Amino acid sequence: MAKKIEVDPITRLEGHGKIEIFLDDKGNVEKAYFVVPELRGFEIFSLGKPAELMPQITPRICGVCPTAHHMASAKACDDLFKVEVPSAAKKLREMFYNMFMVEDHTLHFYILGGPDFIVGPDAPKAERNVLGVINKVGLEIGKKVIGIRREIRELMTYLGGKIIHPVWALPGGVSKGLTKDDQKKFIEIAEKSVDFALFTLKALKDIVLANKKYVEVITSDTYTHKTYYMGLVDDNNKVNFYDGWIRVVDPEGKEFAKFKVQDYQKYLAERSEPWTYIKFLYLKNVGWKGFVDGKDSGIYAVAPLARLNASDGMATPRAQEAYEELYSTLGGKPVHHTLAMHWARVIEIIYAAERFLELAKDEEIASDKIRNVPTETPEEGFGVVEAPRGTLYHHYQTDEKGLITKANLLVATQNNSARIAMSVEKAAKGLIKEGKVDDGILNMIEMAFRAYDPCHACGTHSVPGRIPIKVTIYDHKKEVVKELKNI
Amino acid sequence: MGFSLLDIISGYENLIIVDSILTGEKEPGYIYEMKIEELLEGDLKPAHYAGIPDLYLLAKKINIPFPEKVLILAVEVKDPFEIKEEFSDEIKSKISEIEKKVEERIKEFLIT
Repeated sequence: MAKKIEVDPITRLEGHGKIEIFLDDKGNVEKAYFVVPELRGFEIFSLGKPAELMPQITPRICGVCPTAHHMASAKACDDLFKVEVPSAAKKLREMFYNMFMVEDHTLHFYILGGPDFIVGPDAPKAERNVLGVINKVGLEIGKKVIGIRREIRELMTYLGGKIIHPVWALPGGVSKGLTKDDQKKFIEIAEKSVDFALFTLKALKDIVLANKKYVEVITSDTYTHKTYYMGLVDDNNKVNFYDGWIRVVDPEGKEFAKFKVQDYQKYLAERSEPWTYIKFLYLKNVGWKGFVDGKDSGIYAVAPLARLNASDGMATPRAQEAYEELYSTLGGKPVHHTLAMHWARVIEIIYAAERFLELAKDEEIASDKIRNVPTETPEEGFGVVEAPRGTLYHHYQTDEKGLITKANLLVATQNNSARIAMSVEKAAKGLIKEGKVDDGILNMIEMAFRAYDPCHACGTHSVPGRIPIKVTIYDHKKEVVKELKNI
Repeated sequence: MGFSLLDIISGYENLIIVDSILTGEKEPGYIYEMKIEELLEGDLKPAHYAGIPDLYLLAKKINIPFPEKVLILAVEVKDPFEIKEEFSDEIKSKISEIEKKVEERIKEFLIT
Protein backbone atom coordinates (compact mmCIF):
# COMPACT_ATOMS: atom_id res chain seq x y z
CA MET A 1 0.00 0.00 0.00
CA ALA A 2 1.29 3.43 -0.90
CA LYS A 3 2.56 5.62 1.91
CA LYS A 4 1.82 9.32 1.77
CA ILE A 5 4.28 11.99 2.90
CA GLU A 6 2.97 15.50 3.21
CA VAL A 7 4.93 18.72 3.63
CA ASP A 8 2.34 21.31 4.57
CA PRO A 9 2.83 24.19 4.54
CA ILE A 10 6.09 24.42 2.69
CA THR A 11 8.19 27.21 4.09
CA ARG A 12 10.05 30.26 2.90
CA LEU A 13 8.10 31.16 -0.21
CA GLU A 14 5.69 33.98 -0.76
CA GLY A 15 2.17 32.61 -0.42
CA HIS A 16 0.97 29.11 0.39
CA GLY A 17 1.63 25.71 -1.13
CA LYS A 18 1.64 22.03 -0.34
CA ILE A 19 3.64 19.07 -1.56
CA GLU A 20 2.20 15.57 -1.55
CA ILE A 21 4.41 12.59 -2.20
CA PHE A 22 3.10 9.09 -2.82
CA LEU A 23 5.43 6.15 -2.30
CA ASP A 24 5.09 2.73 -3.89
CA ASP A 25 5.35 -0.61 -2.05
CA LYS A 26 9.16 -0.43 -2.19
CA GLY A 27 9.23 3.01 -0.58
CA ASN A 28 10.26 4.82 -3.74
CA VAL A 29 8.38 7.82 -5.08
CA GLU A 30 5.54 6.92 -7.38
CA LYS A 31 4.14 10.43 -7.78
CA ALA A 32 4.69 13.85 -6.23
CA TYR A 33 2.38 16.84 -6.48
CA PHE A 34 3.05 20.50 -5.83
CA VAL A 35 -0.35 21.72 -4.74
CA VAL A 36 -1.35 25.38 -4.62
CA PRO A 37 -4.47 25.69 -2.49
CA GLU A 38 -4.73 29.48 -2.23
CA LEU A 39 -6.22 31.99 -4.64
CA ARG A 40 -6.58 35.59 -5.57
CA GLY A 41 -9.57 36.60 -7.66
CA PHE A 42 -8.45 40.01 -8.79
CA GLU A 43 -9.52 39.54 -12.40
CA ILE A 44 -13.14 39.32 -11.24
CA PHE A 45 -12.69 41.84 -8.47
CA SER A 46 -11.46 44.41 -11.04
CA LEU A 47 -14.58 44.29 -13.24
CA GLY A 48 -16.43 47.59 -13.34
CA LYS A 49 -13.58 49.53 -11.74
CA PRO A 50 -12.10 52.60 -13.47
CA ALA A 51 -8.99 51.46 -15.35
CA GLU A 52 -6.86 54.22 -13.83
CA LEU A 53 -7.43 52.60 -10.41
CA MET A 54 -5.76 49.36 -11.53
CA PRO A 55 -2.20 50.52 -10.65
CA GLN A 56 -3.52 51.03 -7.10
CA ILE A 57 -5.73 47.93 -6.92
CA THR A 58 -3.41 45.28 -8.34
CA PRO A 59 -0.46 45.86 -5.97
CA ARG A 60 -2.82 44.49 -3.28
CA ILE A 61 -2.35 41.09 -4.93
CA CYS A 62 0.94 40.71 -3.08
CA GLY A 63 2.67 42.60 -0.29
CA VAL A 64 6.03 41.28 -1.43
CA CYS A 65 6.10 42.36 -5.07
CA PRO A 66 3.51 45.17 -5.28
CA THR A 67 5.90 47.28 -7.36
CA ALA A 68 5.82 44.72 -10.18
CA HIS A 69 2.02 44.82 -10.36
CA HIS A 70 1.99 48.61 -9.97
CA MET A 71 4.34 49.04 -12.91
CA ALA A 72 2.83 46.37 -15.19
CA SER A 73 -0.57 47.93 -14.53
CA ALA A 74 0.62 51.49 -15.21
CA LYS A 75 2.16 50.32 -18.49
CA ALA A 76 -1.09 48.57 -19.45
CA CYS A 77 -2.89 51.85 -18.72
CA ASP A 78 -0.42 53.82 -20.91
CA ASP A 79 -1.32 51.45 -23.73
CA LEU A 80 -5.02 51.51 -22.89
CA PHE A 81 -5.23 55.32 -22.95
CA LYS A 82 -2.83 55.48 -25.95
CA VAL A 83 -0.57 57.96 -24.18
CA GLU A 84 3.19 58.34 -24.62
CA VAL A 85 5.16 58.53 -21.37
CA PRO A 86 7.71 61.42 -21.33
CA SER A 87 11.33 60.31 -21.50
CA ALA A 88 12.17 61.55 -17.96
CA ALA A 89 9.18 59.65 -16.52
CA LYS A 90 10.28 56.46 -18.30
CA LYS A 91 13.72 56.84 -16.73
CA LEU A 92 12.21 57.51 -13.31
CA ARG A 93 10.01 54.42 -13.58
CA GLU A 94 12.91 52.25 -14.71
CA MET A 95 15.12 53.55 -11.88
CA PHE A 96 12.37 52.92 -9.30
CA TYR A 97 11.89 49.44 -10.73
CA ASN A 98 15.57 48.57 -10.54
CA MET A 99 15.67 49.78 -6.92
CA PHE A 100 12.85 47.35 -6.23
CA MET A 101 14.73 44.51 -7.95
CA VAL A 102 17.81 45.12 -5.78
CA GLU A 103 15.90 45.01 -2.50
CA ASP A 104 13.57 42.17 -3.46
CA HIS A 105 16.30 39.89 -4.83
CA THR A 106 18.36 40.66 -1.72
CA LEU A 107 15.47 39.46 0.43
CA HIS A 108 15.42 36.18 -1.44
CA PHE A 109 19.15 35.58 -1.57
CA TYR A 110 19.81 36.17 2.11
CA ILE A 111 16.52 35.37 3.79
CA LEU A 112 14.24 33.10 1.75
CA GLY A 113 16.56 31.00 -0.42
CA GLY A 114 19.83 31.80 1.30
CA PRO A 115 19.41 29.52 4.30
CA ASP A 116 19.52 26.49 1.98
CA PHE A 117 23.13 27.14 1.02
CA ILE A 118 24.45 29.64 3.55
CA VAL A 119 23.31 27.50 6.49
CA GLY A 120 23.34 24.26 4.52
CA PRO A 121 20.80 22.07 2.71
CA ASP A 122 20.77 19.40 5.42
CA ALA A 123 21.20 21.66 8.46
CA PRO A 124 18.64 21.22 11.27
CA LYS A 125 15.33 22.88 10.45
CA ALA A 126 15.57 25.20 13.46
CA GLU A 127 18.72 26.74 11.97
CA ARG A 128 17.53 27.11 8.37
CA ASN A 129 16.22 30.64 8.74
CA VAL A 130 17.42 34.22 8.84
CA LEU A 131 18.82 33.82 12.34
CA GLY A 132 20.82 30.82 11.11
CA VAL A 133 22.12 32.92 8.21
CA ILE A 134 23.22 35.66 10.61
CA ASN A 135 24.90 33.10 12.88
CA LYS A 136 26.83 31.88 9.83
CA VAL A 137 27.78 35.16 8.14
CA GLY A 138 28.03 37.37 11.23
CA LEU A 139 26.06 40.21 12.77
CA GLU A 140 27.69 42.94 10.69
CA ILE A 141 26.63 41.36 7.41
CA GLY A 142 23.15 40.83 8.80
CA LYS A 143 22.98 44.54 9.62
CA LYS A 144 24.30 45.39 6.16
CA VAL A 145 21.50 43.39 4.47
CA ILE A 146 18.79 44.97 6.61
CA GLY A 147 20.43 48.40 6.22
CA ILE A 148 20.70 48.55 2.42
CA ARG A 149 17.14 47.32 1.99
CA ARG A 150 15.89 49.97 4.41
CA GLU A 151 17.78 52.77 2.64
CA ILE A 152 16.48 51.77 -0.78
CA ARG A 153 12.94 51.37 0.50
CA GLU A 154 13.02 54.78 2.17
CA LEU A 155 13.84 56.39 -1.19
CA MET A 156 11.13 54.33 -2.88
CA THR A 157 8.67 55.52 -0.24
CA TYR A 158 9.74 59.13 -0.91
CA LEU A 159 8.94 58.76 -4.61
CA GLY A 160 6.14 56.21 -4.50
CA GLY A 161 4.21 57.65 -1.55
CA LYS A 162 3.95 54.20 0.03
CA ILE A 163 6.35 51.31 -0.21
CA ILE A 164 3.87 48.47 -0.05
CA HIS A 165 1.21 49.89 -2.32
CA PRO A 166 2.81 52.70 -4.34
CA VAL A 167 0.59 55.54 -5.58
CA TRP A 168 3.05 56.90 -8.07
CA ALA A 169 2.92 55.58 -11.65
CA LEU A 170 -0.09 56.95 -13.55
CA PRO A 171 -1.32 56.51 -17.12
CA GLY A 172 1.07 58.73 -19.05
CA GLY A 173 3.83 59.11 -16.45
CA VAL A 174 4.39 59.51 -12.72
CA SER A 175 2.98 61.75 -10.01
CA LYS A 176 6.27 62.93 -8.51
CA GLY A 177 9.69 63.68 -9.95
CA LEU A 178 13.16 64.28 -8.57
CA THR A 179 14.81 67.59 -7.76
CA LYS A 180 18.54 68.09 -8.26
CA ASP A 181 18.98 67.81 -4.48
CA ASP A 182 17.02 64.55 -4.39
CA GLN A 183 19.20 63.24 -7.18
CA LYS A 184 22.33 63.44 -4.98
CA LYS A 185 20.76 61.19 -2.36
CA PHE A 186 19.66 58.68 -5.01
CA ILE A 187 23.18 58.60 -6.47
CA GLU A 188 24.65 58.03 -2.99
CA ILE A 189 22.37 55.05 -2.28
CA ALA A 190 22.85 53.69 -5.81
CA GLU A 191 26.63 53.67 -5.30
CA LYS A 192 26.14 51.81 -2.00
CA SER A 193 23.85 49.37 -3.80
CA VAL A 194 26.53 48.57 -6.40
CA ASP A 195 29.08 47.94 -3.61
CA PHE A 196 26.56 45.77 -1.79
CA ALA A 197 25.76 43.79 -4.96
CA LEU A 198 29.45 43.08 -5.59
CA PHE A 199 29.85 42.10 -1.93
CA THR A 200 26.92 39.68 -2.37
CA LEU A 201 28.61 38.08 -5.40
CA LYS A 202 31.74 37.59 -3.28
CA ALA A 203 29.64 36.03 -0.50
CA LEU A 204 28.07 33.66 -3.04
CA LYS A 205 31.50 32.64 -4.31
CA ASP A 206 33.03 32.24 -0.83
CA ILE A 207 30.16 30.40 0.82
CA VAL A 208 28.45 28.50 -1.99
CA LEU A 209 30.66 28.15 -5.07
CA ALA A 210 33.80 27.38 -3.06
CA ASN A 211 32.02 24.43 -1.46
CA LYS A 212 32.49 21.42 -3.75
CA LYS A 213 29.58 19.57 -2.18
CA TYR A 214 27.19 22.46 -2.84
CA VAL A 215 28.35 22.78 -6.46
CA GLU A 216 27.72 19.05 -6.96
CA VAL A 217 24.18 19.53 -5.63
CA ILE A 218 23.60 22.56 -7.89
CA THR A 219 24.76 20.76 -11.03
CA SER A 220 23.20 17.38 -10.21
CA ASP A 221 20.62 15.82 -12.50
CA THR A 222 18.13 15.88 -9.63
CA TYR A 223 17.85 19.65 -10.05
CA THR A 224 18.09 19.85 -13.87
CA HIS A 225 15.42 20.34 -16.56
CA LYS A 226 15.93 21.13 -20.21
CA THR A 227 13.10 23.51 -21.08
CA TYR A 228 12.43 26.68 -23.04
CA TYR A 229 13.29 30.01 -21.35
CA MET A 230 11.58 33.40 -21.47
CA GLY A 231 12.67 36.91 -20.52
CA LEU A 232 12.31 40.57 -21.42
CA VAL A 233 15.19 41.98 -23.50
CA ASP A 234 16.09 45.37 -25.00
CA ASP A 235 16.77 46.01 -28.70
CA ASN A 236 20.25 44.48 -28.27
CA ASN A 237 18.83 41.35 -26.62
CA LYS A 238 20.23 42.41 -23.23
CA VAL A 239 18.23 41.75 -20.05
CA ASN A 240 15.81 44.54 -19.17
CA PHE A 241 13.35 44.41 -16.26
CA TYR A 242 11.15 47.37 -17.20
CA ASP A 243 10.51 47.19 -20.94
CA GLY A 244 11.37 45.63 -24.27
CA TRP A 245 10.75 42.44 -26.25
CA ILE A 246 9.61 39.13 -24.79
CA ARG A 247 12.19 36.67 -26.05
CA VAL A 248 11.96 32.88 -25.85
CA VAL A 249 14.86 30.51 -26.49
CA ASP A 250 14.62 26.74 -26.94
CA PRO A 251 16.43 24.17 -24.75
CA GLU A 252 19.49 24.53 -27.00
CA GLY A 253 19.55 28.31 -26.53
CA LYS A 254 18.31 29.17 -30.02
CA GLU A 255 15.81 32.01 -30.40
CA PHE A 256 12.32 30.50 -30.70
CA ALA A 257 10.18 33.64 -30.49
CA LYS A 258 10.47 37.37 -29.94
CA PHE A 259 7.35 39.43 -29.57
CA LYS A 260 5.72 42.51 -28.03
CA VAL A 261 3.30 42.11 -25.14
CA GLN A 262 0.34 42.96 -27.41
CA ASP A 263 0.91 39.59 -29.12
CA TYR A 264 1.20 37.42 -26.01
CA GLN A 265 -1.98 35.46 -26.79
CA LYS A 266 -0.45 34.22 -30.06
CA TYR A 267 2.35 32.56 -28.12
CA LEU A 268 1.00 31.53 -24.72
CA ALA A 269 -1.77 29.21 -23.59
CA GLU A 270 -3.04 28.15 -20.14
CA ARG A 271 -4.26 24.80 -18.85
CA SER A 272 -5.68 23.57 -15.56
CA GLU A 273 -5.04 20.40 -13.57
CA PRO A 274 -7.54 18.92 -11.12
CA TRP A 275 -5.07 18.79 -8.20
CA THR A 276 -4.14 22.47 -7.92
CA TYR A 277 -5.69 25.92 -8.35
CA ILE A 278 -2.73 27.36 -10.26
CA LYS A 279 -2.97 27.46 -14.05
CA PHE A 280 -0.08 26.14 -16.10
CA LEU A 281 1.21 28.35 -18.91
CA TYR A 282 2.92 26.79 -21.93
CA LEU A 283 4.06 27.77 -25.42
CA LYS A 284 1.07 27.45 -27.73
CA ASN A 285 3.16 26.81 -30.84
CA VAL A 286 4.97 23.87 -29.25
CA GLY A 287 1.94 22.48 -27.40
CA TRP A 288 1.21 20.77 -24.10
CA LYS A 289 2.79 17.30 -23.89
CA GLY A 290 2.38 16.76 -20.15
CA PHE A 291 4.92 17.38 -17.41
CA VAL A 292 7.97 16.58 -19.50
CA ASP A 293 10.95 18.64 -20.59
CA GLY A 294 12.70 18.79 -23.96
CA LYS A 295 12.23 20.61 -27.25
CA ASP A 296 8.87 18.99 -28.03
CA SER A 297 7.28 20.13 -24.76
CA GLY A 298 5.88 23.65 -24.50
CA ILE A 299 6.92 24.01 -20.86
CA TYR A 300 9.15 27.01 -20.27
CA ALA A 301 10.78 28.82 -17.38
CA VAL A 302 11.01 32.46 -16.33
CA ALA A 303 12.82 34.35 -13.51
CA PRO A 304 16.58 35.04 -13.10
CA LEU A 305 18.24 32.05 -14.79
CA ALA A 306 15.63 31.99 -17.56
CA ARG A 307 16.13 35.72 -18.17
CA LEU A 308 19.87 35.22 -18.51
CA ASN A 309 19.36 32.21 -20.78
CA ALA A 310 16.89 34.14 -22.96
CA SER A 311 19.24 37.10 -23.39
CA ASP A 312 22.57 37.76 -25.10
CA GLY A 313 24.01 39.40 -21.99
CA MET A 314 23.69 42.19 -19.45
CA ALA A 315 23.68 45.89 -20.35
CA THR A 316 26.03 46.97 -17.53
CA PRO A 317 29.74 46.12 -17.19
CA ARG A 318 30.07 44.36 -13.82
CA ALA A 319 26.89 42.33 -14.39
CA GLN A 320 28.19 41.33 -17.84
CA GLU A 321 31.45 40.09 -16.26
CA ALA A 322 29.49 38.03 -13.75
CA TYR A 323 27.20 36.74 -16.54
CA GLU A 324 30.19 35.52 -18.56
CA GLU A 325 31.70 33.86 -15.48
CA LEU A 326 28.49 31.92 -14.78
CA TYR A 327 28.30 30.49 -18.29
CA SER A 328 32.01 29.74 -18.57
CA THR A 329 31.90 27.93 -15.22
CA LEU A 330 28.74 25.93 -15.92
CA GLY A 331 29.59 24.88 -19.47
CA GLY A 332 27.96 27.49 -21.71
CA LYS A 333 24.41 28.54 -22.58
CA PRO A 334 21.77 27.71 -21.72
CA VAL A 335 22.26 26.53 -18.13
CA HIS A 336 19.52 24.08 -17.14
CA HIS A 337 20.37 23.67 -13.43
CA THR A 338 17.49 25.03 -11.39
CA LEU A 339 19.65 25.83 -8.37
CA ALA A 340 21.92 28.03 -10.50
CA MET A 341 18.96 30.40 -10.23
CA HIS A 342 20.50 31.72 -6.99
CA TRP A 343 23.69 32.66 -8.85
CA ALA A 344 21.69 34.26 -11.66
CA ARG A 345 19.73 36.22 -9.06
CA VAL A 346 22.94 37.71 -7.67
CA ILE A 347 24.00 38.72 -11.20
CA GLU A 348 20.66 40.46 -11.56
CA ILE A 349 21.22 42.31 -8.27
CA ILE A 350 24.45 43.66 -9.78
CA TYR A 351 22.71 44.69 -13.00
CA ALA A 352 19.81 46.33 -11.13
CA ALA A 353 22.21 48.27 -8.88
CA GLU A 354 24.36 49.42 -11.81
CA ARG A 355 21.29 50.46 -13.82
CA PHE A 356 19.93 52.27 -10.73
CA LEU A 357 23.20 54.23 -10.60
CA GLU A 358 23.23 54.99 -14.35
CA LEU A 359 19.70 56.35 -14.20
CA ALA A 360 20.22 58.25 -10.94
CA LYS A 361 23.12 60.09 -12.63
CA ASP A 362 21.14 60.83 -15.80
CA GLU A 363 20.73 64.62 -16.30
CA GLU A 364 17.22 64.25 -17.67
CA ILE A 365 15.89 62.34 -14.65
CA ALA A 366 15.43 65.58 -12.68
CA SER A 367 13.28 67.09 -15.45
CA ASP A 368 9.84 68.39 -14.46
CA LYS A 369 8.21 66.94 -17.59
CA ILE A 370 6.99 63.75 -15.99
CA ARG A 371 3.49 63.19 -17.34
CA ASN A 372 1.35 63.48 -20.45
CA VAL A 373 -2.33 63.60 -19.51
CA PRO A 374 -4.37 61.03 -21.48
CA THR A 375 -7.00 62.37 -23.86
CA GLU A 376 -7.94 59.31 -25.95
CA THR A 377 -10.90 57.00 -25.35
CA PRO A 378 -9.65 53.74 -23.83
CA GLU A 379 -10.38 50.33 -25.31
CA GLU A 380 -7.67 47.72 -24.75
CA GLY A 381 -4.23 47.85 -23.14
CA PHE A 382 -1.30 45.53 -22.44
CA GLY A 383 1.60 45.88 -20.02
CA VAL A 384 4.58 43.71 -19.18
CA VAL A 385 7.51 43.85 -16.75
CA GLU A 386 9.95 41.34 -15.39
CA ALA A 387 8.86 40.73 -11.80
CA PRO A 388 11.64 39.31 -9.61
CA ARG A 389 9.86 35.97 -10.04
CA GLY A 390 9.44 36.22 -13.81
CA THR A 391 7.50 37.80 -16.65
CA LEU A 392 4.31 39.54 -15.52
CA TYR A 393 1.52 40.39 -17.98
CA HIS A 394 -1.45 42.73 -17.40
CA HIS A 395 -4.14 42.93 -20.07
CA TYR A 396 -7.26 45.11 -19.72
CA GLN A 397 -10.32 45.86 -21.81
CA THR A 398 -12.73 48.67 -20.97
CA ASP A 399 -15.95 50.27 -22.10
CA GLU A 400 -15.89 53.78 -23.55
CA LYS A 401 -15.99 55.25 -20.03
CA GLY A 402 -12.81 53.41 -19.09
CA LEU A 403 -14.50 50.89 -16.77
CA ILE A 404 -12.86 47.47 -16.81
CA THR A 405 -14.85 44.87 -18.75
CA LYS A 406 -12.09 42.23 -18.84
CA ALA A 407 -8.82 41.80 -16.99
CA ASN A 408 -6.31 39.05 -17.56
CA LEU A 409 -3.23 38.76 -15.37
CA LEU A 410 -0.55 36.23 -16.22
CA VAL A 411 1.62 36.32 -13.16
CA ALA A 412 5.25 35.35 -12.87
CA THR A 413 4.82 32.10 -10.99
CA GLN A 414 2.23 30.80 -13.48
CA ASN A 415 4.91 30.82 -16.19
CA ASN A 416 7.08 28.64 -13.98
CA SER A 417 4.37 26.47 -12.50
CA ALA A 418 4.77 23.45 -14.82
CA ARG A 419 8.54 23.41 -14.44
CA ILE A 420 8.20 23.80 -10.65
CA ALA A 421 5.87 20.79 -10.56
CA MET A 422 8.42 18.78 -12.56
CA SER A 423 11.28 19.98 -10.38
CA VAL A 424 9.54 18.91 -7.18
CA GLU A 425 8.71 15.46 -8.55
CA LYS A 426 12.19 14.91 -9.97
CA ALA A 427 13.83 15.99 -6.71
CA ALA A 428 11.54 13.69 -4.72
CA LYS A 429 12.31 10.74 -7.02
CA GLY A 430 16.04 11.46 -6.88
CA LEU A 431 16.27 11.90 -3.13
CA ILE A 432 13.82 9.48 -1.50
CA LYS A 433 14.94 5.86 -1.79
CA GLU A 434 13.47 2.78 -0.07
CA GLY A 435 11.30 4.89 2.19
CA LYS A 436 14.21 6.71 3.80
CA VAL A 437 13.06 10.25 4.44
CA ASP A 438 14.35 12.73 6.97
CA ASP A 439 13.96 16.44 7.51
CA GLY A 440 17.09 17.24 5.49
CA ILE A 441 15.82 15.30 2.45
CA LEU A 442 12.44 17.00 2.64
CA ASN A 443 14.20 20.37 2.72
CA MET A 444 16.21 19.41 -0.35
CA ILE A 445 12.94 18.67 -2.12
CA GLU A 446 11.62 22.05 -1.03
CA MET A 447 14.80 23.62 -2.41
CA ALA A 448 13.67 22.52 -5.85
CA PHE A 449 10.80 24.99 -5.82
CA ARG A 450 12.30 27.62 -3.52
CA ALA A 451 14.98 28.47 -6.10
CA TYR A 452 12.22 29.86 -8.33
CA ASP A 453 11.16 32.28 -5.54
CA PRO A 454 7.54 31.38 -6.28
CA CYS A 455 4.66 33.56 -5.15
CA HIS A 456 1.37 31.73 -5.08
CA ALA A 457 -0.62 34.46 -3.45
CA CYS A 458 -0.90 36.00 -6.92
CA GLY A 459 -0.38 32.84 -8.92
CA THR A 460 -3.79 31.31 -8.33
CA HIS A 461 -7.18 31.94 -9.87
CA SER A 462 -10.84 31.25 -9.42
CA VAL A 463 -13.55 32.38 -11.81
CA PRO A 464 -16.27 33.01 -9.19
CA GLY A 465 -13.75 34.79 -6.97
CA ARG A 466 -13.84 32.29 -4.12
CA ILE A 467 -12.10 29.04 -3.39
CA PRO A 468 -13.81 26.31 -5.39
CA ILE A 469 -14.20 23.24 -3.21
CA LYS A 470 -15.34 19.87 -4.41
CA VAL A 471 -15.37 16.98 -1.98
CA THR A 472 -15.88 13.50 -3.39
CA ILE A 473 -16.24 10.60 -0.99
CA TYR A 474 -15.50 7.06 -2.28
CA ASP A 475 -16.16 3.74 -0.62
CA HIS A 476 -13.74 0.82 -0.49
CA LYS A 477 -14.77 -0.16 -4.02
CA LYS A 478 -13.82 3.33 -5.19
CA GLU A 479 -17.43 4.12 -6.00
CA VAL A 480 -18.71 7.64 -5.30
CA VAL A 481 -21.10 7.68 -2.37
CA LYS A 482 -21.35 11.44 -1.84
CA GLU A 483 -20.27 14.61 -3.59
CA LEU A 484 -20.20 18.10 -2.06
CA LYS A 485 -19.35 21.26 -3.99
CA ASN A 486 -19.74 25.04 -3.75
CA ILE A 487 -19.24 25.90 -7.42
CA MET B 1 4.90 42.53 4.34
CA GLY B 2 7.23 40.18 6.16
CA PHE B 3 10.60 41.66 7.02
CA SER B 4 9.76 45.08 5.64
CA LEU B 5 7.51 45.64 8.63
CA LEU B 6 10.64 45.97 10.72
CA ASP B 7 11.59 49.19 8.87
CA ILE B 8 8.22 50.63 9.78
CA ILE B 9 7.95 49.68 13.45
CA SER B 10 11.56 50.09 14.50
CA GLY B 11 12.15 53.11 16.72
CA TYR B 12 8.64 53.34 18.16
CA GLU B 13 7.93 52.80 21.88
CA ASN B 14 4.52 51.21 21.45
CA LEU B 15 3.29 48.83 18.77
CA ILE B 16 -0.42 48.19 18.29
CA ILE B 17 -1.48 45.67 15.66
CA VAL B 18 -5.13 45.19 14.77
CA ASP B 19 -5.69 42.39 12.27
CA SER B 20 -8.19 39.71 11.31
CA ILE B 21 -7.94 36.04 12.20
CA LEU B 22 -9.80 32.87 11.33
CA THR B 23 -9.71 30.24 14.06
CA GLY B 24 -13.20 28.86 13.55
CA GLU B 25 -13.50 28.60 17.33
CA LYS B 26 -15.31 31.86 18.11
CA GLU B 27 -18.16 33.87 16.60
CA PRO B 28 -17.18 36.47 13.97
CA GLY B 29 -16.40 39.72 15.77
CA TYR B 30 -14.74 38.09 18.77
CA ILE B 31 -11.56 39.99 19.66
CA TYR B 32 -8.48 37.99 20.60
CA GLU B 33 -5.63 39.62 22.46
CA MET B 34 -2.17 38.14 22.05
CA LYS B 35 1.27 38.73 23.45
CA ILE B 36 4.53 38.33 21.56
CA GLU B 37 5.63 35.70 24.07
CA GLU B 38 2.55 33.61 23.27
CA LEU B 39 3.26 33.84 19.54
CA LEU B 40 6.84 32.74 20.08
CA GLU B 41 5.59 29.62 21.82
CA GLY B 42 2.68 28.97 19.46
CA ASP B 43 2.40 27.04 16.26
CA LEU B 44 1.27 29.89 14.01
CA LYS B 45 2.51 29.64 10.46
CA PRO B 46 2.52 33.08 8.84
CA ALA B 47 1.95 33.18 5.07
CA HIS B 48 4.97 35.34 4.43
CA TYR B 49 7.30 33.39 6.62
CA ALA B 50 8.37 36.39 8.67
CA GLY B 51 5.70 37.18 11.21
CA ILE B 52 5.91 39.43 14.24
CA PRO B 53 7.75 36.80 16.33
CA ASP B 54 10.40 36.43 13.60
CA LEU B 55 10.82 40.20 13.43
CA TYR B 56 11.11 40.36 17.21
CA LEU B 57 13.84 37.70 17.27
CA LEU B 58 15.68 39.27 14.33
CA ALA B 59 15.58 42.73 15.93
CA LYS B 60 16.93 41.35 19.19
CA LYS B 61 19.66 39.48 17.32
CA ILE B 62 21.03 42.45 15.42
CA ASN B 63 20.17 45.13 17.99
CA ILE B 64 17.48 46.92 16.02
CA PRO B 65 15.23 48.92 18.39
CA PHE B 66 11.92 47.07 18.76
CA PRO B 67 8.89 48.61 20.53
CA GLU B 68 8.97 47.85 24.25
CA LYS B 69 5.20 47.51 24.56
CA VAL B 70 3.24 45.46 22.04
CA LEU B 71 -0.52 44.99 21.80
CA ILE B 72 -1.89 42.54 19.23
CA LEU B 73 -5.64 42.43 18.67
CA ALA B 74 -7.13 39.99 16.18
CA VAL B 75 -10.77 40.06 15.17
CA GLU B 76 -12.34 36.70 14.28
CA VAL B 77 -13.76 36.89 10.75
CA LYS B 78 -16.20 34.71 8.88
CA ASP B 79 -14.57 34.29 5.48
CA PRO B 80 -11.20 35.77 4.57
CA PHE B 81 -11.09 33.90 1.26
CA GLU B 82 -13.82 35.57 -0.76
CA ILE B 83 -12.49 38.79 -2.26
CA LYS B 84 -14.93 41.66 -1.85
CA GLU B 85 -15.00 45.26 -0.75
CA GLU B 86 -17.32 44.88 2.24
CA PHE B 87 -17.36 43.01 5.54
CA SER B 88 -19.50 39.90 5.98
CA ASP B 89 -23.01 40.55 7.35
CA GLU B 90 -21.92 39.17 10.72
CA ILE B 91 -19.04 41.65 11.04
CA LYS B 92 -21.02 44.49 9.47
CA SER B 93 -23.71 44.21 12.15
CA LYS B 94 -21.11 44.37 14.94
CA ILE B 95 -18.64 46.82 13.46
CA SER B 96 -19.49 49.74 15.82
CA GLU B 97 -19.20 47.46 18.82
CA ILE B 98 -15.86 46.07 17.58
CA GLU B 99 -14.51 49.56 16.92
CA LYS B 100 -15.52 50.68 20.42
CA LYS B 101 -13.90 47.70 22.11
CA VAL B 102 -10.68 48.08 20.13
CA GLU B 103 -10.55 51.81 20.88
CA GLU B 104 -11.08 51.22 24.61
CA ARG B 105 -8.40 48.56 24.75
CA ILE B 106 -5.91 50.79 22.95
CA LYS B 107 -6.60 53.63 25.42
CA GLU B 108 -6.03 51.28 28.39
CA PHE B 109 -2.86 49.97 26.78
CA LEU B 110 -1.42 53.42 26.25
CA ILE B 111 -2.20 54.54 29.83
CA THR B 112 -0.73 51.52 31.63
